[in-house]
Amino acid sequence: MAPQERVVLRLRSVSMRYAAGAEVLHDIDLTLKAGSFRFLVGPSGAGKTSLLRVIGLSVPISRGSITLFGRDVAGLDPGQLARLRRRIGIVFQDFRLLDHLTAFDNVALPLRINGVSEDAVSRLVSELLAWMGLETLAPLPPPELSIGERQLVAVARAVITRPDLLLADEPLSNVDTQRAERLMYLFTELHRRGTAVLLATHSNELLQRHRFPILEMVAGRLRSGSLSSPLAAVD
Amino acid sequence: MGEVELDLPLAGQGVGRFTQWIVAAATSLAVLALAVAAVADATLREMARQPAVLTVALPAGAGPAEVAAVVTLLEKSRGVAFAEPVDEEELAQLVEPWLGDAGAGRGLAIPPLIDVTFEPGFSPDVEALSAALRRLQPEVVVERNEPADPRPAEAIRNLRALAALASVLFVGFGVAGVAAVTHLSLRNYAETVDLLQQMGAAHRYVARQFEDHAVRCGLRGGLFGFVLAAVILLAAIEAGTAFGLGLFPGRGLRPVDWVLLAVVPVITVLLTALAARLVAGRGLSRAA
Repeated sequence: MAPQERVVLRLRSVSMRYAAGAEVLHDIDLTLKAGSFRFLVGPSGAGKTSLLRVIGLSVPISRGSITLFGRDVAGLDPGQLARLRRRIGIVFQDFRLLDHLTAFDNVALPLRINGVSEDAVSRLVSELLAWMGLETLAPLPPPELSIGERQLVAVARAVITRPDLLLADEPLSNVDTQRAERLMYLFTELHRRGTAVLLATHSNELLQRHRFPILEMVAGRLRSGSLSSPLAAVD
Repeated sequence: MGEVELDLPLAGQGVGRFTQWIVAAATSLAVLALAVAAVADATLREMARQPAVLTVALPAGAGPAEVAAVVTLLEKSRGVAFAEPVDEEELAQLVEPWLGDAGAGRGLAIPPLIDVTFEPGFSPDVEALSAALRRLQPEVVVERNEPADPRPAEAIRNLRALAALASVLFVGFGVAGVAAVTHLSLRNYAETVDLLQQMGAAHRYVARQFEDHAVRCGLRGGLFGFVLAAVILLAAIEAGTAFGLGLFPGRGLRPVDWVLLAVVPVITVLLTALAARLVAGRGLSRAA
């Protein structure tokens, strides 16, 4: 099978609820192949973040099945789940950077979890930070960075391992246009090299400039969207 | 070179910062308790090295030749350092409290006595020795000179056991303290732990964070606790020597005792690290 034909993610009739609350996702069916790129749009509260959390294996589902990298995640032990998660990069909407670590160490975190040698960690992180124009910020902890800089560090952390699946929740919302374009270049480059990218956004401008397929979340349900859809055009 | 920052902020915030002080206190107390046990042990060993002493009483009226024969036999017996007849003047002093100066003066027949001293550390078989002497002199009586009050030795033995037990308990309290801190930290940093797991950290990786923290704090705390205890002990030895308090037998603790004491922080660090790893591992497994 050609690499681009490989199915990275398959959700079948997935529903999810938080604790004993009402369902927030209903019967989601979604397939992402290696090297695919999808925008995920929808109004606030539609379930975009919840869907990303389900795909990132952060929360359990109440119905349906998830197949990641060819493996049904139901019944996998914690060690197997950890191995799957290492192949996923996540840009959290709230960044979730560790304030006691420097920007460098935040970005290095996934590499260290993957057991990469310190020499390689040093080289890879330095290269990426330099490419993103963050090399002078490397020794600073997140509280000393601007919101936009934190977002860049969060993106760097998500892509440092060159994941097979990248889940990005509003990754460009706090950066200027020039940096946003640079980040989009980074995402499309990863996509071109085989990473499946699912990028949640509210930016209509982004959808206009980058013509990738759009998925719309509407009240916890997923459907294919288009630029003409009023939900896709939310900004 | 500074140490690499852990992924979890265990050192600077929350209950994790108490770990090194818990280890320091536990180590210090355990070292002091073990030193007391070592001193008690040294005292008991010194007491055991005191030579055994017997008194052999011949029947009243036994002559110098019979006394000499018994002395000769005793001197040939195993473990005997020397056997010495008690002279008449000393015998008179011994009976004086009961008979006054009338005893010796009126020519009362007093049984000749022989003091027998054994080699240090030799434990004589009194029954066998008595039997051998009776073959020579049937009415001979052998008495072992036991200390008038056996309680000091018993008390020192009890003190040694209690001090050793206290040492183990102090280490145990330290380990339990670190385990409790780890348990609390796991709850306090649930969000960060969740983030690490989100990035693919296995339970082993997260548990190792707690273990590394325990090792770092344990090394610092253990060293501090040991140095503190050593300073206290050295000061006590100096004071004991200077003021003749008799706190320490001989010249204080032996080198082997110091080596034993130095093992305490090492054991404490190893056990606390193991406890941190196990508690974190179990907590993560339960949460999974």
